[in-house]
Amino acid sequence: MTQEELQALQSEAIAQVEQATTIQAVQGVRVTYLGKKGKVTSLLKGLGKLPKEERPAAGAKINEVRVAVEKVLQDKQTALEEAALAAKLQEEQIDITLPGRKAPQGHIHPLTKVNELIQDFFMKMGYTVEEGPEIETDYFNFECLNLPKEHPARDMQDSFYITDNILLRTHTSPVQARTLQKHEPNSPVRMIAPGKVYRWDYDATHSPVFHQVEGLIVDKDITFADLKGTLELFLRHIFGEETKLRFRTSYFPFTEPSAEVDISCVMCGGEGCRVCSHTGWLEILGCGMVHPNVLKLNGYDPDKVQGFAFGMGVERIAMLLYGIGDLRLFFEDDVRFLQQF
Amino acid sequence: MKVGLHWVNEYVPVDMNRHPQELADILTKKGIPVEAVTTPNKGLKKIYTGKIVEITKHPDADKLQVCQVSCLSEEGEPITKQIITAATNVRVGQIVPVAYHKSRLADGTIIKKGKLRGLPSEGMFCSVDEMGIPRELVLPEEADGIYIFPADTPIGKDVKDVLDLEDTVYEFELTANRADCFSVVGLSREFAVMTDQKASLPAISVVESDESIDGKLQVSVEANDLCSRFSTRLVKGVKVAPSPLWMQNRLRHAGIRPINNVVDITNYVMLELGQPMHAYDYDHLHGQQLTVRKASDKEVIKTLDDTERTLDSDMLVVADSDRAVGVAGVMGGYDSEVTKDTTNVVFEAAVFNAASVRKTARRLGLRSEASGRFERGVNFAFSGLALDRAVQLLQMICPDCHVLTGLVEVAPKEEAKRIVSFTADQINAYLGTDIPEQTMVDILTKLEFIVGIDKGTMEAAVPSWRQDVTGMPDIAEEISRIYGYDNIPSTTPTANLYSGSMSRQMQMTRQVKHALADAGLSEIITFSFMHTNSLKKLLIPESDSRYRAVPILNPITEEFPYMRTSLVPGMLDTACKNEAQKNYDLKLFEVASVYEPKALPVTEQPNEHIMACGFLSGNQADLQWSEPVRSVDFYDVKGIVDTLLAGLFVPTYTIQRSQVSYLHPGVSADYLVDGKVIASFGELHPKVAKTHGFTQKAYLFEIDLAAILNLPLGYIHYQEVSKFPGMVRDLAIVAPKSMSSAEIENVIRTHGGQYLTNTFVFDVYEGEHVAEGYKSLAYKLSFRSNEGTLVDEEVEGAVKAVVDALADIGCQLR
Repeated sequence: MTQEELQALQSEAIAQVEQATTIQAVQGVRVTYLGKKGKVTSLLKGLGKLPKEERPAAGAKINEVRVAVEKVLQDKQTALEEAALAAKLQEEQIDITLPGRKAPQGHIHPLTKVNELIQDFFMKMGYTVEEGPEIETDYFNFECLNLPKEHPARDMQDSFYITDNILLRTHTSPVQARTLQKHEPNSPVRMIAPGKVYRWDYDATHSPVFHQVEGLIVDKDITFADLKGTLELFLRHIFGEETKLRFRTSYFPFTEPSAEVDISCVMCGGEGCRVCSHTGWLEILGCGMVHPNVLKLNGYDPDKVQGFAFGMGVERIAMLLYGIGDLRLFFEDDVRFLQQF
Repeated sequence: MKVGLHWVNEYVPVDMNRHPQELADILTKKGIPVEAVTTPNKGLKKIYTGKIVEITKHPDADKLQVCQVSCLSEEGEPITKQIITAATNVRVGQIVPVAYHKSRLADGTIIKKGKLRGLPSEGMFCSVDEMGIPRELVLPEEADGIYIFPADTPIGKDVKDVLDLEDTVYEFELTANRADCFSVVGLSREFAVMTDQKASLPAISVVESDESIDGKLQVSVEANDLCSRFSTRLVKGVKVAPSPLWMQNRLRHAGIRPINNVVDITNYVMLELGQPMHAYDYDHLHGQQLTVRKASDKEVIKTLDDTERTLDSDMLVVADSDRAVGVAGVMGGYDSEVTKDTTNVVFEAAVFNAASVRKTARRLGLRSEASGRFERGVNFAFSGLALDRAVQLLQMICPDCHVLTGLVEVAPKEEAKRIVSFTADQINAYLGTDIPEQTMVDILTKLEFIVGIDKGTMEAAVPSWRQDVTGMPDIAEEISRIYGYDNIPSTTPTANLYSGSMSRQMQMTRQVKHALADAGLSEIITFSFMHTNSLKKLLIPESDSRYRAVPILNPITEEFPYMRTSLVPGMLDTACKNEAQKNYDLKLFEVASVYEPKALPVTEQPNEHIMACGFLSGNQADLQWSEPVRSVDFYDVKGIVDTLLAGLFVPTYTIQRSQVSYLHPGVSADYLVDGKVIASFGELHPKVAKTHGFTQKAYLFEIDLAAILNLPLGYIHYQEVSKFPGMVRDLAIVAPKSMSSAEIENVIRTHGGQYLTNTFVFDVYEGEHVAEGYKSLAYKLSFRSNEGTLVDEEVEGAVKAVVDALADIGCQLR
């Protein structure tokens, strides 16, 4: 076959490939030219008829045609496959704006959430989390905390009584006394005690059942400055690094010196707004150095160890943290409220 | 405690130009909390004193009177104004408040001149309401009609000045330790320290008459443990009348109603010095004697407020020779009170035991200004001073009276001053500060401690009014509050490292809450109280121990007289409230304690028993476009309980039909470990659902977390995963309808051979193609060996054994 004839064959094959619009048609062209009985294949098979010395050159030429056709075939096939895939993908397109299938989602009560925040912070600081009974004796609720019978400060805590000497605890502080008494005298204690507390008070801003977290640390060299530093770390952890603190002198029978701690208003940042009654400050917790009588009453020697204690209301912190304006919402348990946490 | 700054200003200069809130903030920060800063001035304008010089009837109106009033013009010229009034208490000669043309009343009303039935009126007379003076702070006869000033009041004065309405009133929310600040003098000392000044006491002097008190009055104290001092003075020739306005004004600003000069003086001295006082009509004291003694049981006394009170033998009274004339430290008696007819007055200043007064006041439900002060502790050293102050004031107001010479009193020797010793190092080690010794001395001296230093040890003599300062920490507080809490550094404890931890119960509680939330339930928190009626509503038989609840002596409402013994009432109540809000798809849980008394009546602390309770109703999942929704059912609840127990590593438990009264008997179950129920769950009994008003099926679960806590600790132990392939066979079985799946599974497990690793039901069917009274169940059986690849024969053998055993209990292959 002459060079021209070979060229013509190649052109003819390529033209047919180009006309093919389906993968089947491409396959047909392949069979026609490159199949077992295809035109190019036949030429290669016919090489044997040529004189031995011509075979390499003729073979090379035919092979060039085969390679060229093969390439065109392959390109065409790839292009058609791509187009088919593109069409298929287009076909499979869905409405991505329809909602996804939700996994079941329950909610932890905001008071529990805040409680866990507080517990996790202090556990990382090496505090143990202690518990005590909600139905408490007068001894642990008051007497061990330097609040003897008929102490005027008992008025700050109107109680629910079960008997003359058993009451619903009015604060989580009895856990301080219980924890100290559980320990070897004068051994170090670092604890917090979360839990339900009860006071005889029921109106828009008071709930007879509410939650407190108590904290106590007793060791050799604990100072009022440590109290300040610890509470600063804690309150900034809860309310943000830019929170400012204000310590005010106060009085609790179980601490001396005592302080009330205010934080800069979480709503206005201290500018003054309705939430902070235009003072820029919000009362957040009470604290102080453990009163020597409390140490003594619970088997510790105030000449050997000293410490600080603090107590806070969980509802108060939750209200400020989440912007909840009404205390009663916590106990109404409306799911539209609960679902936001 | 409320006090006007004008009064304070008498003992320490108060910078009245400074914004009153600024000083209040300083006091608050230093431990003298000011709760509110107010003024008695309600915005009055152009109301002046005037004297009624003539009253005539209005010619055209029966009820109106035409008054000619002598007053001053706004420029200070004497003028006469015509005022027409309907008031019935006006008389010629009275000094009254006159609201001029364009004046402003307390409620904001502007008064203009006008005509009343044809006659011009140039303003109006004012009542206390119109001047914004609370009715409860004036005498009953002053509350209605036109307010009448004392006869010596000058005319043409702005009533704001006459009534001292432009004073600033601080309302203190004092802490229980600062008994000394329940007095103007005490507060003045604090003002002085905060503003770097010194406060002065009122100058007290008494002019005594020639007549001696000896033999005129006997005083004795029987209960000397409850009364450490009882001092009296006798004043004769007293004319009881209203006290002067300046005194009335100060009392009013302090929230105390003026009564008459003698009673007002006792209140004034109490406010001024902190010493409660009482005045008796000397001529109504039988036997001219006063004895402090315990009341006899059921002794009756009529107190000043005209109320008969029955006393008991723990209470302390002051008595004359026949009867109690006062409840000591709480309230005086009616029979010996000072009235307008009184001429001879006994003043009493005593120190009663704080606890005793508190107990008595509480038992009688009678808290007074006096009892509040006694409860906090009265300064022993001030009683004599107070007595002198009272007679001094009476002499000032009522110059004709004469004070008998001497006191009659029962008083121990002066107490030695308390000394507190400490070193500067101790204070600094306590506070974590570096305050110089001299600064400490300066602060304490300002607070009127007398400080001596001996070889580095400071000895501070505590002022008599600071009974709260007993030890080094109290001194540390005094120093730090004045030094400023803000100036104390912030550090963190440098103690040893500890690992934080929590109890197993707390860990479990937290785990349970999160597991239930992950299962789609929302946590609720309800009150720990209940009423036993709510147990009846749950059809719980009355013999049930849950009726043995801990009663609260003083419940907050009659709805909640007990500590709860079940979480179910609170849960159902919450669910009902939510349904009422149209929240229908409810998945709720609560983890909390129930309270079980050890004995009734309660003698010791009850058990607090931690439980979990859950409630489900409505749709199983949120509505979704992609699949049908179905309502929650028994198996949802069971699955939640199963998942939870698995997470808690609860070892094998058995199941039985539940006997719980408020659950559907056919659609409820108990889980038991060692014969003890650890969980109950199922559909709410239709009767209970109905009485609670549920409109859809509801499901409950209760899990006894305390019981689970007592089970041996579960733990994770790794089982080696087989390297060899396993085989799975499905078996479809037709079984009698009444046969439980557990029974069939049990047979499969028993006969499945050593290589059966798992079996579970994956289809349950009743209906077409299955005979009446039968059901079809499909099980998947998994076989696997750790030793090698199983061959078909081994598995077929096991399956055959299972099929044969199932045939024995009446189940056929399908």
